[in-house]
Amino acid sequence: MASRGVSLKAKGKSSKGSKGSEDRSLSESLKEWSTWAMRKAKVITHYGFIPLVIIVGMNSEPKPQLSQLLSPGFVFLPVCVIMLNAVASNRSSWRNLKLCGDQESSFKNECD
Amino acid sequence: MAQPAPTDTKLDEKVDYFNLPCPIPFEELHREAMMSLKPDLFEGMRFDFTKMLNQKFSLNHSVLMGPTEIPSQSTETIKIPTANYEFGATFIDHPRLLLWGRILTDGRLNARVKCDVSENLTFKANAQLTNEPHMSHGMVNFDYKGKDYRTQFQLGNGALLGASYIQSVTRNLSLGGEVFWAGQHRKSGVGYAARYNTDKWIYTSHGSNISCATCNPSGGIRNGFSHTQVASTGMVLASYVQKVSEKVSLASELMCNYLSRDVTASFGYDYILRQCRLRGKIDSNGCCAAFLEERLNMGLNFILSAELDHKKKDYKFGFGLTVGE
Repeated sequence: MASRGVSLKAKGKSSKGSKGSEDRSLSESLKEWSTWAMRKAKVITHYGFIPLVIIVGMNSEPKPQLSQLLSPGFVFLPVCVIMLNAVASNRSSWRNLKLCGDQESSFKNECD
Repeated sequence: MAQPAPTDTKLDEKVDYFNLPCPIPFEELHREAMMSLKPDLFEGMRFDFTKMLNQKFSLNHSVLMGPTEIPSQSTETIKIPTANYEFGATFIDHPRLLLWGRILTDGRLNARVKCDVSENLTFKANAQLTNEPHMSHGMVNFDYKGKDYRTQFQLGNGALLGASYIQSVTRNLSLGGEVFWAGQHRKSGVGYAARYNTDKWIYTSHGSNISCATCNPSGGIRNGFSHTQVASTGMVLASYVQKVSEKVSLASELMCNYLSRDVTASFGYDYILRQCRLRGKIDSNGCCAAFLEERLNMGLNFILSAELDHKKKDYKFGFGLTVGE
Protein backbone atom coordinates (compact mmCIF):
# COMPACT_ATOMS: atom_id res chain seq x y z
CA MET A 1 0.00 0.00 0.00
CA ALA A 2 2.89 2.38 0.81
CA SER A 3 4.46 1.82 -2.61
CA ARG A 4 1.17 2.73 -4.29
CA GLY A 5 1.09 5.93 -2.26
CA VAL A 6 4.66 6.80 -3.23
CA SER A 7 4.04 6.19 -6.95
CA LEU A 8 0.83 8.21 -6.86
CA LYS A 9 2.65 11.07 -5.16
CA ALA A 10 5.34 11.00 -7.84
CA LYS A 11 2.75 11.01 -10.60
CA GLY A 12 0.86 13.78 -8.80
CA LYS A 13 3.92 15.98 -8.53
CA SER A 14 4.76 15.68 -12.22
CA SER A 15 1.17 16.30 -13.30
CA LYS A 16 0.91 19.27 -10.97
CA GLY A 17 3.81 20.86 -12.78
CA SER A 18 2.36 20.19 -16.22
CA LYS A 19 -1.41 20.58 -15.70
CA GLY A 20 -2.18 22.27 -12.39
CA SER A 21 -5.94 21.63 -12.56
CA GLU A 22 -7.97 21.73 -9.36
CA ASP A 23 -9.77 18.40 -9.45
CA ARG A 24 -6.45 16.62 -10.05
CA SER A 25 -5.02 18.00 -6.81
CA LEU A 26 -8.25 17.15 -4.99
CA SER A 27 -8.16 13.49 -6.02
CA GLU A 28 -4.46 13.19 -5.29
CA SER A 29 -4.82 14.78 -1.86
CA LEU A 30 -7.71 12.41 -1.22
CA LYS A 31 -5.46 9.48 -2.09
CA GLU A 32 -2.71 10.88 0.14
CA TRP A 33 -5.13 11.21 3.03
CA SER A 34 -6.46 7.71 2.53
CA THR A 35 -2.95 6.27 2.46
CA TRP A 36 -2.08 8.19 5.63
CA ALA A 37 -5.27 6.92 7.25
CA MET A 38 -4.54 3.31 6.25
CA ARG A 39 -1.06 3.54 7.69
CA LYS A 40 -2.33 4.93 10.98
CA ALA A 41 -5.08 2.32 11.09
CA LYS A 42 -2.53 -0.41 10.57
CA VAL A 43 -0.38 0.82 13.46
CA ILE A 44 -3.41 1.21 15.72
CA THR A 45 -4.65 -2.27 14.88
CA HIS A 46 -1.22 -3.77 15.34
CA TYR A 47 -0.78 -2.39 18.84
CA GLY A 48 -4.35 -2.13 19.96
CA PHE A 49 -6.23 -5.21 18.80
CA ILE A 50 -5.17 -7.63 21.51
CA PRO A 51 -5.68 -5.07 24.32
CA LEU A 52 -9.11 -4.39 22.83
CA VAL A 53 -10.04 -8.07 22.98
CA ILE A 54 -8.79 -8.28 26.55
CA ILE A 55 -10.78 -5.22 27.60
CA VAL A 56 -13.95 -6.53 25.94
CA GLY A 57 -13.42 -9.91 27.58
CA MET A 58 -12.72 -8.56 31.06
CA ASN A 59 -15.92 -6.54 30.91
CA SER A 60 -18.16 -9.41 29.84
CA GLU A 61 -20.44 -11.23 32.26
CA PRO A 62 -19.49 -13.00 34.57
CA LYS A 63 -16.58 -10.65 35.22
CA PRO A 64 -13.29 -12.49 35.53
CA GLN A 65 -10.73 -11.43 38.14
CA LEU A 66 -7.60 -9.52 37.17
CA SER A 67 -5.43 -12.17 38.78
CA GLN A 68 -6.85 -14.75 36.40
CA LEU A 69 -5.36 -12.77 33.57
CA LEU A 70 -1.84 -13.45 34.80
CA SER A 71 -2.48 -16.81 36.34
CA PRO A 72 -0.55 -19.53 34.49
CA GLY A 73 2.78 -18.70 36.14
CA PHE A 74 4.56 -21.85 35.04
CA VAL A 75 4.30 -20.77 31.42
CA PHE A 76 6.24 -17.62 32.07
CA LEU A 77 9.68 -19.06 32.61
CA PRO A 78 10.25 -20.63 29.15
CA VAL A 79 8.36 -17.72 27.67
CA CYS A 80 10.72 -15.15 29.17
CA VAL A 81 13.71 -17.10 27.91
CA ILE A 82 12.26 -17.23 24.43
CA MET A 83 11.35 -13.57 24.41
CA LEU A 84 14.82 -12.52 25.55
CA ASN A 85 16.30 -14.63 22.79
CA ALA A 86 13.90 -13.10 20.34
CA VAL A 87 14.75 -9.55 21.29
CA ALA A 88 18.47 -10.19 21.29
CA SER A 89 18.96 -12.20 18.16
CA ASN A 90 15.88 -12.33 15.94
CA ARG A 91 15.94 -8.82 14.64
CA SER A 92 19.50 -8.82 13.40
CA SER A 93 19.71 -12.43 12.21
CA TRP A 94 16.38 -12.47 10.35
CA ARG A 95 17.11 -9.24 8.54
CA ASN A 96 20.57 -10.45 7.51
CA LEU A 97 19.19 -13.71 6.20
CA LYS A 98 16.50 -12.01 4.23
CA LEU A 99 18.73 -9.41 2.63
CA CYS A 100 21.70 -11.57 1.71
CA GLY A 101 20.35 -14.54 -0.17
CA ASP A 102 23.72 -16.00 -1.03
CA GLN A 103 24.85 -15.96 2.56
CA GLU A 104 22.56 -18.91 3.12
CA SER A 105 24.66 -21.20 0.97
CA SER A 106 27.83 -20.07 2.73
CA PHE A 107 26.12 -20.69 6.08
CA LYS A 108 25.35 -24.21 4.98
CA ASN A 109 28.91 -24.79 3.84
CA GLU A 110 30.18 -23.65 7.22
CA CYS A 111 28.01 -26.18 8.98
CA ASP A 112 29.33 -29.01 6.76
CA MET B 1 -33.63 -35.68 -8.18
CA ALA B 2 -36.25 -33.80 -10.18
CA GLN B 3 -39.03 -36.37 -9.93
CA PRO B 4 -40.82 -37.01 -6.65
CA ALA B 5 -39.36 -39.92 -4.69
CA PRO B 6 -41.35 -43.15 -4.43
CA THR B 7 -43.11 -43.80 -1.14
CA ASP B 8 -41.13 -46.83 -0.07
CA THR B 9 -37.78 -44.96 0.29
CA LYS B 10 -36.69 -42.69 3.10
CA LEU B 11 -37.84 -39.52 1.33
CA ASP B 12 -41.59 -39.50 1.45
CA GLU B 13 -42.15 -35.93 0.40
CA LYS B 14 -41.91 -34.10 -2.87
CA VAL B 15 -38.89 -31.93 -3.42
CA ASP B 16 -40.15 -28.50 -2.54
CA TYR B 17 -38.17 -26.07 -4.64
CA PHE B 18 -39.30 -23.11 -2.63
CA ASN B 19 -38.15 -24.51 0.63
CA LEU B 20 -34.54 -25.52 0.03
CA PRO B 21 -31.98 -25.42 2.79
CA CYS B 22 -29.43 -22.67 2.96
CA PRO B 23 -26.18 -23.77 1.37
CA ILE B 24 -22.74 -23.90 2.96
CA PRO B 25 -20.76 -20.68 2.51
CA PHE B 26 -18.67 -20.57 -0.64
CA GLU B 27 -15.34 -20.58 1.15
CA GLU B 28 -16.31 -23.59 3.23
CA LEU B 29 -17.30 -25.78 0.31
CA HIS B 30 -14.39 -28.10 0.77
CA ARG B 31 -14.42 -28.11 4.55
CA GLU B 32 -14.94 -31.82 5.11
CA ALA B 33 -12.19 -32.66 2.67
CA MET B 34 -9.91 -30.09 4.26
CA MET B 35 -10.47 -31.57 7.69
CA SER B 36 -9.16 -34.94 6.60
CA LEU B 37 -6.56 -33.93 4.08
CA LYS B 38 -5.07 -30.83 5.63
CA PRO B 39 -4.54 -31.24 9.33
CA ASP B 40 -2.42 -28.73 11.17
CA LEU B 41 0.97 -30.39 10.63
CA PHE B 42 3.97 -28.91 12.39
CA GLU B 43 7.60 -29.64 13.09
CA GLY B 44 9.29 -29.54 16.45
CA MET B 45 7.76 -29.23 19.85
CA ARG B 46 4.51 -27.49 20.45
CA PHE B 47 2.86 -26.60 23.69
CA ASP B 48 -0.54 -24.92 23.80
CA PHE B 49 -2.20 -23.68 26.90
CA THR B 50 -5.72 -22.31 26.82
CA LYS B 51 -7.14 -20.64 29.88
CA MET B 52 -10.86 -19.95 29.89
CA LEU B 53 -11.53 -16.97 32.08
CA ASN B 54 -15.18 -16.97 31.23
CA GLN B 55 -17.63 -18.79 29.00
CA LYS B 56 -16.82 -16.29 26.30
CA PHE B 57 -13.30 -15.09 26.91
CA SER B 58 -10.11 -17.12 26.84
CA LEU B 59 -6.39 -16.51 26.72
CA ASN B 60 -4.03 -18.72 24.87
CA HIS B 61 -0.28 -19.23 25.30
CA SER B 62 1.52 -21.25 22.72
CA VAL B 63 5.18 -22.19 22.44
CA LEU B 64 6.65 -23.70 19.30
CA MET B 65 10.29 -24.73 19.14
CA GLY B 66 11.60 -26.25 16.02
CA PRO B 67 13.10 -25.77 12.60
CA THR B 68 11.39 -23.25 10.40
CA GLU B 69 11.79 -23.24 6.67
CA ILE B 70 13.07 -20.09 5.14
CA PRO B 71 12.40 -19.34 1.50
CA SER B 72 15.49 -19.92 -0.56
CA GLN B 73 16.29 -19.66 -4.23
CA SER B 74 17.76 -23.15 -4.50
CA THR B 75 15.65 -26.29 -4.62
CA GLU B 76 16.93 -27.48 -1.23
CA THR B 77 14.92 -26.60 1.83
CA ILE B 78 16.85 -24.62 4.38
CA LYS B 79 15.71 -24.73 7.96
CA ILE B 80 16.67 -22.53 10.83
CA PRO B 81 15.83 -23.55 14.38
CA THR B 82 13.56 -21.01 15.98
CA ALA B 83 11.53 -20.69 19.11
CA ASN B 84 8.29 -18.76 19.05
CA TYR B 85 5.92 -17.73 21.73
CA GLU B 86 2.44 -16.76 20.69
CA PHE B 87 -0.04 -15.01 22.89
CA GLY B 88 -3.66 -14.99 21.96
CA ALA B 89 -6.96 -13.72 23.19
CA THR B 90 -10.34 -14.95 22.02
CA PHE B 91 -13.72 -13.50 22.73
CA ILE B 92 -16.70 -15.47 21.43
CA ASP B 93 -20.16 -14.16 22.04
CA HIS B 94 -21.95 -16.71 19.94
CA PRO B 95 -23.38 -15.91 17.48
CA ARG B 96 -23.14 -12.18 17.51
CA LEU B 97 -19.48 -11.32 17.90
CA LEU B 98 -16.18 -13.11 17.56
CA LEU B 99 -12.82 -11.48 18.23
CA TRP B 100 -9.72 -13.58 17.77
CA GLY B 101 -6.18 -12.27 17.98
CA ARG B 102 -2.77 -13.91 18.07
CA ILE B 103 0.55 -12.14 18.37
CA LEU B 104 3.98 -13.70 17.96
CA THR B 105 7.33 -12.71 19.42
CA ASP B 106 8.50 -11.38 16.06
CA GLY B 107 5.67 -8.89 16.05
CA ARG B 108 3.30 -10.60 13.65
CA LEU B 109 -0.35 -10.20 14.47
CA ASN B 110 -3.18 -12.39 13.17
CA ALA B 111 -6.55 -10.90 13.88
CA ARG B 112 -10.08 -11.95 12.99
CA VAL B 113 -13.33 -10.21 13.68
CA LYS B 114 -16.77 -11.56 12.89
CA CYS B 115 -19.85 -9.58 13.70
CA ASP B 116 -23.50 -10.25 12.89
CA VAL B 117 -24.82 -6.87 11.98
CA SER B 118 -28.31 -8.24 11.51
CA GLU B 119 -29.85 -11.67 11.22
CA ASN B 120 -28.77 -12.13 7.63
CA LEU B 121 -25.85 -9.79 7.22
CA THR B 122 -22.44 -10.63 8.64
CA PHE B 123 -19.33 -8.54 8.66
CA LYS B 124 -15.98 -10.30 8.82
CA ALA B 125 -12.48 -8.88 8.85
CA ASN B 126 -9.20 -10.67 8.80
CA ALA B 127 -5.68 -9.26 8.99
CA GLN B 128 -2.08 -10.46 9.15
CA LEU B 129 0.08 -7.54 10.17
CA THR B 130 3.84 -7.54 10.36
CA ASN B 131 6.52 -5.05 11.20
CA GLU B 132 8.04 -5.41 7.76
CA PRO B 133 6.71 -2.99 5.19
CA HIS B 134 4.52 -4.28 2.36
CA MET B 135 4.05 -7.68 3.97
CA SER B 136 0.77 -7.02 5.74
CA HIS B 137 -2.56 -8.22 4.44
CA GLY B 138 -6.06 -7.30 5.38
CA MET B 139 -9.44 -8.38 4.11
CA VAL B 140 -12.98 -7.35 4.85
CA ASN B 141 -16.01 -9.48 3.93
CA PHE B 142 -19.70 -8.75 3.89
CA ASP B 143 -21.88 -11.85 3.82
CA TYR B 144 -25.56 -11.87 3.13
CA LYS B 145 -27.54 -15.01 3.80
CA GLY B 146 -30.79 -15.38 1.95
CA LYS B 147 -33.38 -18.14 2.20
CA ASP B 148 -31.60 -20.58 -0.06
CA TYR B 149 -28.59 -18.62 -1.21
CA ARG B 150 -25.58 -16.80 0.14
CA THR B 151 -23.61 -13.95 -1.30
CA GLN B 152 -20.34 -12.49 -0.21
CA PHE B 153 -18.47 -9.36 -1.11
CA GLN B 154 -14.78 -9.04 -0.30
CA LEU B 155 -12.45 -6.11 -0.14
CA GLY B 156 -8.76 -6.48 0.54
CA ASN B 157 -5.57 -4.51 0.48
CA GLY B 158 -3.74 -4.22 -2.76
CA ALA B 159 -7.05 -3.25 -4.36
CA LEU B 160 -8.49 -6.73 -4.08
CA LEU B 161 -12.19 -7.01 -4.82
CA GLY B 162 -14.17 -10.19 -4.90
CA ALA B 163 -17.72 -11.43 -4.89
CA SER B 164 -19.20 -14.88 -4.64
CA TYR B 165 -22.64 -16.37 -4.82
CA ILE B 166 -23.91 -19.82 -3.98
CA GLN B 167 -27.42 -21.16 -4.45
CA SER B 168 -29.14 -24.36 -3.41
CA VAL B 169 -30.52 -25.87 -6.58
CA THR B 170 -32.03 -28.98 -5.08
CA ARG B 171 -32.00 -30.34 -1.55
CA ASN B 172 -28.55 -31.83 -1.99
CA LEU B 173 -26.96 -29.84 -4.78
CA SER B 174 -25.70 -26.31 -4.59
CA LEU B 175 -23.95 -24.34 -7.28
CA GLY B 176 -21.96 -21.19 -6.97
CA GLY B 177 -19.58 -18.82 -8.63
CA GLU B 178 -17.06 -16.20 -7.73
CA VAL B 179 -15.29 -13.33 -9.42
CA PHE B 180 -12.36 -11.35 -8.16
CA TRP B 181 -10.06 -8.63 -9.26
CA ALA B 182 -6.63 -7.93 -7.83
CA GLY B 183 -5.62 -4.41 -8.73
CA GLN B 184 -2.06 -4.47 -7.56
CA HIS B 185 -1.10 -7.50 -9.62
CA ARG B 186 -3.50 -6.67 -12.43
CA LYS B 187 -5.27 -10.02 -12.27
CA SER B 188 -8.86 -11.00 -12.50
CA GLY B 189 -10.43 -14.38 -12.08
CA VAL B 190 -13.65 -16.28 -12.34
CA GLY B 191 -14.48 -19.46 -10.48
CA TYR B 192 -17.34 -21.95 -10.43
CA ALA B 193 -18.18 -24.48 -7.79
CA ALA B 194 -20.62 -27.26 -7.19
CA ARG B 195 -21.34 -29.27 -4.10
CA TYR B 196 -23.48 -32.35 -3.82
CA ASN B 197 -24.01 -33.78 -0.38
CA THR B 198 -26.01 -36.61 1.02
CA ASP B 199 -25.88 -38.11 4.49
CA LYS B 200 -23.17 -40.52 3.52
CA TRP B 201 -21.01 -38.70 1.06
CA ILE B 202 -20.13 -35.30 -0.29
CA TYR B 203 -18.77 -34.37 -3.66
CA THR B 204 -17.45 -30.91 -4.45
CA SER B 205 -15.73 -29.44 -7.44
CA HIS B 206 -14.32 -26.04 -8.04
CA GLY B 207 -12.79 -24.58 -11.17
CA SER B 208 -11.19 -21.22 -11.56
CA ASN B 209 -9.52 -19.25 -14.23
CA ILE B 210 -7.28 -16.31 -13.61
CA SER B 211 -6.27 -13.99 -16.38
CA CYS B 212 -3.41 -11.65 -15.81
CA ALA B 213 -1.61 -8.99 -17.73
CA THR B 214 1.76 -10.06 -16.36
CA CYS B 215 2.37 -13.73 -15.74
CA ASN B 216 3.27 -13.96 -12.08
CA PRO B 217 2.11 -16.67 -9.70
CA SER B 218 -0.46 -15.31 -7.34
CA GLY B 219 0.01 -17.19 -4.07
CA GLY B 220 -0.62 -14.68 -1.32
CA ILE B 221 -3.62 -12.86 -2.78
CA ARG B 222 -5.67 -15.98 -2.65
CA ASN B 223 -5.44 -16.28 1.12
CA GLY B 224 -8.99 -15.27 1.67
CA PHE B 225 -10.59 -17.30 -1.09
CA SER B 226 -11.69 -20.85 -1.23
CA HIS B 227 -9.03 -23.47 -1.25
CA THR B 228 -6.59 -22.52 -3.92
CA GLN B 229 -3.19 -22.59 -2.39
CA VAL B 230 -1.07 -22.36 -5.50
CA ALA B 231 -3.11 -20.97 -8.32
CA SER B 232 -1.17 -19.48 -11.15
CA THR B 233 -3.72 -19.73 -13.88
CA GLY B 234 -6.52 -22.15 -14.41
CA MET B 235 -7.19 -24.71 -11.76
CA VAL B 236 -9.78 -27.39 -11.20
CA LEU B 237 -10.24 -29.00 -7.84
CA ALA B 238 -12.53 -31.91 -7.14
CA SER B 239 -12.99 -33.65 -3.84
CA TYR B 240 -15.03 -36.53 -2.55
CA VAL B 241 -15.63 -37.41 1.07
CA GLN B 242 -17.31 -40.62 2.14
CA LYS B 243 -18.48 -41.08 5.67
CA VAL B 244 -18.01 -44.80 6.04
CA SER B 245 -19.28 -44.88 9.58
CA GLU B 246 -19.61 -42.52 12.52
CA LYS B 247 -15.98 -42.98 13.37
CA VAL B 248 -14.38 -43.22 9.95
CA SER B 249 -14.44 -40.96 6.98
CA LEU B 250 -12.36 -41.13 3.86
CA ALA B 251 -11.56 -38.29 1.53
CA SER B 252 -9.92 -37.91 -1.82
CA GLU B 253 -9.02 -34.89 -3.82
CA LEU B 254 -7.78 -34.18 -7.30
CA MET B 255 -6.25 -30.90 -8.26
CA CYS B 256 -5.37 -30.13 -11.87
CA ASN B 257 -3.68 -26.98 -12.97
CA TYR B 258 -4.40 -27.22 -16.65
CA LEU B 259 -2.14 -24.43 -17.78
CA SER B 260 0.97 -25.49 -15.94
CA ARG B 261 0.07 -29.18 -16.44
CA ASP B 262 0.35 -30.00 -12.78
CA VAL B 263 -1.89 -32.67 -11.31
CA THR B 264 -2.00 -33.76 -7.70
CA ALA B 265 -4.16 -36.50 -6.26
CA SER B 266 -4.42 -37.16 -2.59
CA PHE B 267 -6.24 -39.64 -0.42
CA GLY B 268 -6.86 -39.28 3.25
CA TYR B 269 -8.65 -40.78 6.17
CA ASP B 270 -10.04 -39.45 9.39
CA TYR B 271 -10.70 -41.76 12.33
CA ILE B 272 -12.56 -40.17 15.19
CA LEU B 273 -12.31 -42.61 18.05
CA ARG B 274 -13.21 -42.25 21.68
CA GLN B 275 -9.76 -41.36 22.98
CA CYS B 276 -8.03 -40.13 19.90
CA ARG B 277 -8.38 -38.66 16.47
CA LEU B 278 -6.12 -39.91 13.73
CA ARG B 279 -5.84 -38.29 10.34
CA GLY B 280 -3.54 -39.28 7.54
CA LYS B 281 -3.05 -38.67 3.89
CA ILE B 282 -0.95 -39.73 0.96
CA ASP B 283 -0.23 -37.65 -2.07
CA SER B 284 0.81 -38.22 -5.62
CA ASN B 285 3.77 -35.89 -5.01
CA GLY B 286 5.27 -38.59 -2.83
CA CYS B 287 4.21 -36.96 0.40
CA CYS B 288 2.52 -38.81 3.21
CA ALA B 289 1.45 -37.32 6.46
CA ALA B 290 -0.26 -38.32 9.67
CA PHE B 291 -1.61 -36.42 12.62
CA LEU B 292 -2.65 -37.93 15.92
CA GLU B 293 -4.43 -36.23 18.79
CA GLU B 294 -4.68 -38.42 21.83
CA ARG B 295 -6.78 -37.47 24.80
CA LEU B 296 -4.78 -38.34 27.87
CA ASN B 297 -7.11 -36.79 30.35
CA MET B 298 -9.83 -34.18 30.52
CA GLY B 299 -8.36 -31.12 28.88
CA LEU B 300 -4.98 -32.71 28.19
CA ASN B 301 -4.20 -33.76 24.65
CA PHE B 302 -1.04 -35.22 23.25
CA ILE B 303 -0.34 -34.49 19.59
CA LEU B 304 1.99 -36.17 17.15
CA SER B 305 2.57 -34.99 13.62
CA ALA B 306 4.62 -36.51 10.83
CA GLU B 307 5.10 -35.46 7.24
CA LEU B 308 7.39 -37.33 4.89
CA ASP B 309 8.07 -35.75 1.55
CA HIS B 310 10.06 -38.33 -0.35
CA LYS B 311 10.39 -36.26 -3.48
CA LYS B 312 11.97 -33.26 -1.79
CA LYS B 313 13.65 -35.40 0.89
CA ASP B 314 12.06 -33.31 3.61
CA TYR B 315 10.98 -35.13 6.76
CA LYS B 316 9.13 -33.35 9.46
CA PHE B 317 8.21 -34.76 12.83
CA GLY B 318 6.54 -32.97 15.66
CA PHE B 319 5.14 -33.67 19.06
CA GLY B 320 3.32 -31.59 21.55
CA LEU B 321 0.86 -31.14 24.31
CA THR B 322 -2.35 -29.15 24.38
CA VAL B 323 -3.66 -28.14 27.75
CA GLY B 324 -7.05 -26.60 28.24
CA GLU B 325 -10.40 -27.03 26.55
